[in-house]
Formats: sequence, C-alpha cells, structure tokens
Amino acid sequence: MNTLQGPMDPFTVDRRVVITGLGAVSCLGTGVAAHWAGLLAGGGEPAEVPLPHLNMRTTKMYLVDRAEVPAKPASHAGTELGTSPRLAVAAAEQALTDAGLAYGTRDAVPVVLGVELGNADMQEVRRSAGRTAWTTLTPAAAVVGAAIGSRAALTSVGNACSASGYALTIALDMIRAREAATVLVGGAEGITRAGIGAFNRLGAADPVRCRPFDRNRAGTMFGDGSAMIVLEAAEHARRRGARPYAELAGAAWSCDAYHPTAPDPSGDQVVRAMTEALADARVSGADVGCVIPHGTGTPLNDVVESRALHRVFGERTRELPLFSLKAMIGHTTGAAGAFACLTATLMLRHRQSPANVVIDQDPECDVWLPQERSVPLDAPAVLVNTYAFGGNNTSFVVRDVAPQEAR
Amino acid sequence: MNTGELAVAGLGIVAPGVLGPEGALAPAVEVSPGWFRADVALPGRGYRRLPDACKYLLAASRLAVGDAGDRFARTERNLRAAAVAVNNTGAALLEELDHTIMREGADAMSPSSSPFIAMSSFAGRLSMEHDITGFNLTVNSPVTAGIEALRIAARAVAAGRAAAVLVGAVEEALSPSQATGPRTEAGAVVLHCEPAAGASARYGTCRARGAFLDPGAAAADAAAVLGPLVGEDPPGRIDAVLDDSPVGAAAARWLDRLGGACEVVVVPSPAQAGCLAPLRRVLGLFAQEHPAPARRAVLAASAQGTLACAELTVAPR
Repeated sequence: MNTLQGPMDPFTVDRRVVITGLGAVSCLGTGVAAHWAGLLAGGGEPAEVPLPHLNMRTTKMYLVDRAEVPAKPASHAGTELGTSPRLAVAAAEQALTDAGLAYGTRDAVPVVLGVELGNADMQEVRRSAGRTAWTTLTPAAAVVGAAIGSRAALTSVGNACSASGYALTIALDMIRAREAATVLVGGAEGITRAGIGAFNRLGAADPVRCRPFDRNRAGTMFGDGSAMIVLEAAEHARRRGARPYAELAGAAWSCDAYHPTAPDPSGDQVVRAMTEALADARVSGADVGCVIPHGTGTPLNDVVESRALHRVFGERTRELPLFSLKAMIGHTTGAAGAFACLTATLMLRHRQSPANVVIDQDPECDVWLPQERSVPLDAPAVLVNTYAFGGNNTSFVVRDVAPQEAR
Repeated sequence: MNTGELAVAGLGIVAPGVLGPEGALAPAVEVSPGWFRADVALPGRGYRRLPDACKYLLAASRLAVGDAGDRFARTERNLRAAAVAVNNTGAALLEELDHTIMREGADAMSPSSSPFIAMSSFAGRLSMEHDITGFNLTVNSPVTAGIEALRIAARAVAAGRAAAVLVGAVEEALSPSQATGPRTEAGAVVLHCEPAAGASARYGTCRARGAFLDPGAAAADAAAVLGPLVGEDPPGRIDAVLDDSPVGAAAARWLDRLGGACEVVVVPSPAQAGCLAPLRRVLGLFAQEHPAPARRAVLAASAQGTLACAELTVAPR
C-alpha cells in the first residue's frame, strides 16, 4: 500500500525523501552505468537530426543512438508515439527495476514527468508526409503509467526547460504530503524540427556544440533522451530493504516575471530559488560540494547564473566546482532537471565530479569549471538549477544519506 | 490523502457565447469569428502580437483577479503563483511555424511567435501581467490538466510555496486541417485560489485527486480505480467530462451504477478535446447560487487514461 496514513505512517519516524532508483537513455547510451562512463569519458558529440525539411542553420543535436531507441510501445490509446514516450518507458523500467519494484507492485506509484514537446517528432514526420490531424504532444506520462502498471495519479508538467525540475519538486511535495510513499519522476524529450527552428530564429541555437560558459558560445544545442528517478519516503525504503543512493533534500521555485524569453539580469529570483532550496534542505553553502548549473550556453543566461552563484556562495564561488552537464549531453529541455538530478546522485555515489568539457571560458562567467581532471566531492550536497522561458526557475539539493543506509 | 484544500475567491471566464461565470455550465458552442474582442478585454499596449490563447488567458485572469477584489495585489509577490493547464493551446501556431520552416526556412518564422513553440510560454506572460514571482507552472495532460492544476496548486499552497494562486486552463481552436471533428475548444477559465484556512471562500472550497485507468484494461479496472477516486461518500452531483474512448465509456458505465446516490451530469467531450471543459465545469458549479452549502464534483477522463476529480463545497450565496 502506497498511501501513508494511520499508525504505520513512516513520517512519524523519518521525514526524508530518498532516491532509490535511477534510469537513463541519452546520447551517452542506455543505462546509468553508460551515463556515468560517458560523463567520465567527456560526453557525447552532436549529430545531424534525422528529420526532413530542416531548413535552418543549426541542424544538430546530441542524439540517442537510433539503434537504442526502443521500437515499442508504438502507440497508446490510438496515438502514434514518437521517440520521447518510448525512451520514457525504457528509462522508467530501468529506474523501477533498480529500485527493486517489480511489475505488479507499482499500482500505487504516481508518475510525474516533465515533458514539453515530447511527441513533436511524430507530429512533424506526419506533417512532412501531409498528415495533419492533431494528437496531443504529451502522452508520455500516460504511456509510462500504462507500461509500469500504475493506477495512481499522473502529472505532466510543461514548464519548458525547467519542467522536470518542477516535476521533481512536485514529487517531493507529494511524498512530504503523504499522498504517496513512492513516486516515479523524470523527464523525456525527443527530436523536434519546430523547436530547433524556433531557437534558430531567436538566435539561440549554437551551430557548433553546446558550449556553456565559453566566450564563443552562440546559444544552446538540444539533446534528446529520458531520465527517471524513483523517489521514496525514507522510512518506506528502509522497511522494504531498499538502499538509497541519496536524499532529495530540498527544492524551491521562483519566477522572474520579467520577460517572455530572457532571464532577469538582476538574477534576484534565481538567487531566491537557490537560497530557499538550501534552506529547505537544511544545508548551508559550505555543505555544497558541486553545482550543476542550468548553463544553457545562451550568452545572457550563463552570465546571470554566474553572478547569482557569487551572491549565494560569496568568496567560495571560485573554489566551488561546477559541472556543466549540457556540454556533454546537450540541452534536454523538459528532461534537463531529471538528468541533472540523476547526475548529482551519481556524483555523490562516486564521490567525484567528472572533468568538464574543455572550453575557452568567458571571463564574464567567473565560476570554476574544472577541466583538467575530475575533482573529489568534498561536501555532502550537490545543488542543481533549472531555468526556462518565462523566467520559471527551480533549484534543488541532492545530498548524502547516512553511510549505513547508502548503496 | 492530504492534498490540501483551496478557497475560491474569484472567477473569470472567456469563452464563445459565455458572458460570465453564471453561463459556464451552458453547452460549449462553435467558435465564430470575432467572438473575442481583444481590444475590449485587454485595452492598452503590448498585447497585439500575442497569440489568441495568450490573450484569452490574460483576459480571464483579469476577470478572476478583479472578481476577488484587491486580494491578489495585496499578496506578497513571492507568494503569488499561477498553475495553468494547456493541451491544444499551441497546436495551430505550432503547425503554422513548422510549415514556415518546411516551406521557407526558420529565418522566415515570426520572431514574436517563435517563443510560443514552448507551450509554457502561453502561461509565461501571466507572471509579467500580475507580477507573479512565486511560481508559474504549466501542466499539459489532455482533458484532465485543469483539475491537475488545482491539485498541484493546493499541494503547493499547503507546502508554503504560495499564498494566492491563479488556477487556469486555456485552449485555442485547432486549425481546420488538424481538426477531425467538431467543437475543438477555445477560451480560458481562471480561478483565484487561496489556502482554505483563514481565506475568503467566497465561492467555496475545493480539493482534487487523480488516478490512472489503463485504456487497455479500462473495462475490467474501472471500479477499482474510480471508486477510490470519487470516494465512499459521493456528492449530490457529479459533472463528468467524458469522451467515447474505452476509458470514457468505462467511466460512464461505472457512474451509471451509482444509481440514485447522486445526480450525474455527463458532459460529452470531443475526441480532440483540450483541457478546458473540466475546469469550466468547476467554475460553473461555483458560480451557482445555493441557500446552503452544496457538495459537488467534477470528474474528467482522457482517452489516454488520466483521471481527475475535483471535489467542491459550494458556499451559500
């Protein structure tokens, strides 16, 4: 039974929310081991997007090897499925299996996904072929719900590039509110002609690669894939013998209310999100051993975020390692927060932050991006930022669990 | 389940043929040209280039905020929030932009329209309009997203992430080439919501729940899923937004078996429905006048299998 009421309520013992399962498919490969090995090896390389009519300057993404995109499920409730929902099902199954939750025990597990343009490739392929009838862009949560055998509430969050950051917070709040003991949360995005086209038109698509904090950065470059995380009430995990990787210790939201696409140059609201996430996690800046920034590679975003980090961490900022995940797997938009959460969890498990992709760093971005080698993680927490169009910001904190509990 | 409870202090609706919240329960009508006067609903500068759906949402939010008096403006900006449901909202624009890319190339795209490639951009403008810095959340499940927005807002308020939330749903009509049937939705509804405790529950209070009914097993599993969703003590009336999919049909059969326990009002939902109808029913039920508190519910089901139920206690007015 997943709901938490009555005398067996585990929150009477322990209010923490822990991470007990991970799953991923990205340009680095299929599975968490491939993801970590890919990060240590320096990340993936952009490739040409396999869609017709890509009439634009930038036509590359960090792509999942097409041979690793599952063929099924091909449809759900009459809707043809593109790559995103199929990747989501694959990553979800990995995460639940990793958590030791076999099929048949998942009926009370809610699904919370960050998905913005998930099924766009199916729509666009059909449109290129002259088939114009519309179906939803966002079936992924339902597809995953059916695949895993859930009967619980499903939520699909569409906050663009911060969608799965929001999804993680929603899942955290669900467990804290005792709606569920276990939640499957993540994100999934596929390829999209219209999405790349819009970023080209807005001058925000880098034709070379995703180069956050580089002086020559020219916008972002997308990546496709799916990352999934099993969140669980700590006491629930303990009772069933699950060994957590880490704790999702705190999260916060904010909104710039400034511009449809540009970040507020003041950075006030991204500072507030970071500060409140640390407070929610009950950790100080000194407890943070690494930051996974939003760091898209768009010129203003990276400067604003760098300055905001200085406001949060002060003098320590220049000694605080940042890990620029998007330089290795591209900007996975709605899935970016989930990939960052998964990566933060693996950093804590392996006690290190992989070396960053080598860049010619922009002096306006006065942050430390270790590029020579991986660096030891010498503090118990990793801070993650996700931002999006409309100034929609989330920050969250992943931290160690007690050594006797950890995997 | 401790999903939180919201008080509803303001209502706003913009929909074809509907003059105000009291008309929200009327059957949806076809979209006709000129049904929405942006210059009247949104006087001033800065709106002309926005997509129609964005204008609908801004107009409905003005009505809801105004209906609640100055409560939203008096709420500290970091505790103001929005949770907005979308589904077909950007479909017509997305098709137009993609056709532009295919025919002429991305350089020919409209720079003002291009940001709306992200469906969350339709709600993004809301935060600038009302100086919302708490959060601005978009949910996008077909049909059920409006009630999911209520559910997320209630939980976020309970967690202290906001003290006043504009909960809305917005849709724009599909293009003629996209639509496979009649009555694609257009318009917006917005509810001004606050924590139930200590707030003005002028229209009443609500809480929301969700569930999932696998379309492939809908007929067999309906009772096991819908029973807990609706609860052991059904309200006096359930408005059910259902399509003719296996999920909708299974829900309709299950509701039939409730017998005389409550009045069931089935609201037929077209196959390509967006997410407007369920929240429109919520708004319409709150707008009804009652001499005593009345319990109501809105149940929504999508062909994909998502289910959502909003449980309302309508205040006497």
